[in-house]
Amino acid sequence: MILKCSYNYISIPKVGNSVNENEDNVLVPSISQLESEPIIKFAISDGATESSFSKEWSDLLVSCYKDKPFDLANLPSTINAISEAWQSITSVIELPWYAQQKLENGAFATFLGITLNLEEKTFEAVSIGDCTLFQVRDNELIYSFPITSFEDFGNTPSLFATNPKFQTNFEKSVKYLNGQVESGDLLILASDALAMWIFKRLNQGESPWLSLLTLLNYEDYQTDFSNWTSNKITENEMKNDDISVVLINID
Amino acid sequence: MAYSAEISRNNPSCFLFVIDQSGSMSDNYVSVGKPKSEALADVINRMLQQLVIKCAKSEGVRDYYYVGVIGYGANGVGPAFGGSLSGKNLVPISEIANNPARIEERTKRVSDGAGGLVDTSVKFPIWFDPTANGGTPMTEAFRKANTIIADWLSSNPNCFPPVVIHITDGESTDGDPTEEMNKLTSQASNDGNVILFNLHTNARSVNPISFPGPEVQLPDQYSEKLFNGASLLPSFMRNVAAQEFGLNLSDGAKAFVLNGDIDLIITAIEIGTRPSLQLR
Repeated sequence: MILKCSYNYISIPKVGNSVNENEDNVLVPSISQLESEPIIKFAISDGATESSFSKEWSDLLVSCYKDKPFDLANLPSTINAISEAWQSITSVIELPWYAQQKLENGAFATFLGITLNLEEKTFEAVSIGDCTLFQVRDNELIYSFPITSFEDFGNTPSLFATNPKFQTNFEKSVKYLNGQVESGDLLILASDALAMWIFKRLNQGESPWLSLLTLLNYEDYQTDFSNWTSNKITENEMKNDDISVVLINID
Repeated sequence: MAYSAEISRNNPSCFLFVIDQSGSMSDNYVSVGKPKSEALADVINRMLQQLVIKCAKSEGVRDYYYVGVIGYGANGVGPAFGGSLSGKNLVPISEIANNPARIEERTKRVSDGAGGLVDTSVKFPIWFDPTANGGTPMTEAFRKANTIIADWLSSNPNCFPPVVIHITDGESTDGDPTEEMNKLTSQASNDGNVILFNLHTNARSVNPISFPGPEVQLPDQYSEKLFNGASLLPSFMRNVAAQEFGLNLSDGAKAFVLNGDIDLIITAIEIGTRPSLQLR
């Protein structure tokens, strides 16, 4: 029997920034895709604050995950094609001297994509950097990818770069995972700040996904989630960053 | 924990440069064949350019930093920006971005992609011009720095602590600056004390000393005063020194250079102007 899935997601800017300054982007399937297709894709990408036009870069990365190959053999040409799309957006904008010079460095983003095969009950995930996939079964974490503990987070994650000059070696920096899903599984895709919080709570013996599941089911979840993260940031429980999360329930 | 405050538009930090513009700064650096004043002006202008680019986003420049450049020499002590910023002490980085005194075209040698090098023209904005004349009123310069930093801290009490980078080639001609230096390094935000770099430069790199600990033997009382006045390098700056420059510095290392040539001065400025955290 083919599995079904449903999802909730949210993406909010760091506290103090406006919504259009959020450099995270998320790919989720449409309702019709969910109902009719056995192969479903999700992705999350976190644009680097210190580069410019990184919001556009992370947006293109998640959008292109829909129909471009991200396997190691095809990744160079895929990233090259996405980079050309990014350059065609940025090259038509008239910019002052500093923005032109900044543009020469290009944009950077972390990325995590997952392709679910609901017929075969499998998934393939690809990742660069510190956006994290958590697989939860029977209220226990059974796997996290590519980050496996709180200590794995650093200030310099690997990134997809628009400028090949600054691209780290794909073979070293891009990670792949093949897994299996069962009915009742919960898959979480989280950008780094929320992923760090999840690991912190796991280290305390808690089940942090229960809070996330509850929050994203509220009617006014946008406001409630923003208030909740604001409080966590004030209490130094979470770092102030753009925050994105996708919760995928396998039925 | 000190030196952990967020640097954001709501909670900006500041850099203040205090530059010796006395007559001896007209001596040429042997390594680059250029007067010290000119080579240092290039360094400051390039540093301002890099800071602007660091804070640039697609919509403009975000005011993560306020920056000031104070000069001291024949004309006493005062703000050293040219053009429309002249007379201003601390300026938000967006205002610096949009108001260079002029933009020069300079030649830069870059890779041609086929193993060779080609000359290319690049824009080089100028905010600060070289001056080298008169005495060395260092004490008055630190008094001015104290006033500017006190004003800044009263408006920004929770900021990532200001970094003051003082560059000189000589000895104070208006008395002992020790008291004013101590006053400066005892100023603090809620996130830690002001960090003072004392960078002594020399036309010839003779017996240079960089980031020494308390065991160092210094040649005279003037260098001892600058050494004593400088801050201890916080651990995040020692990490930058290790990661970016391969310098393994001890806990007691000070933000101090003696007889540094232009390259050592650039290294010290780089170490002093990298924040410990990502910009927000």
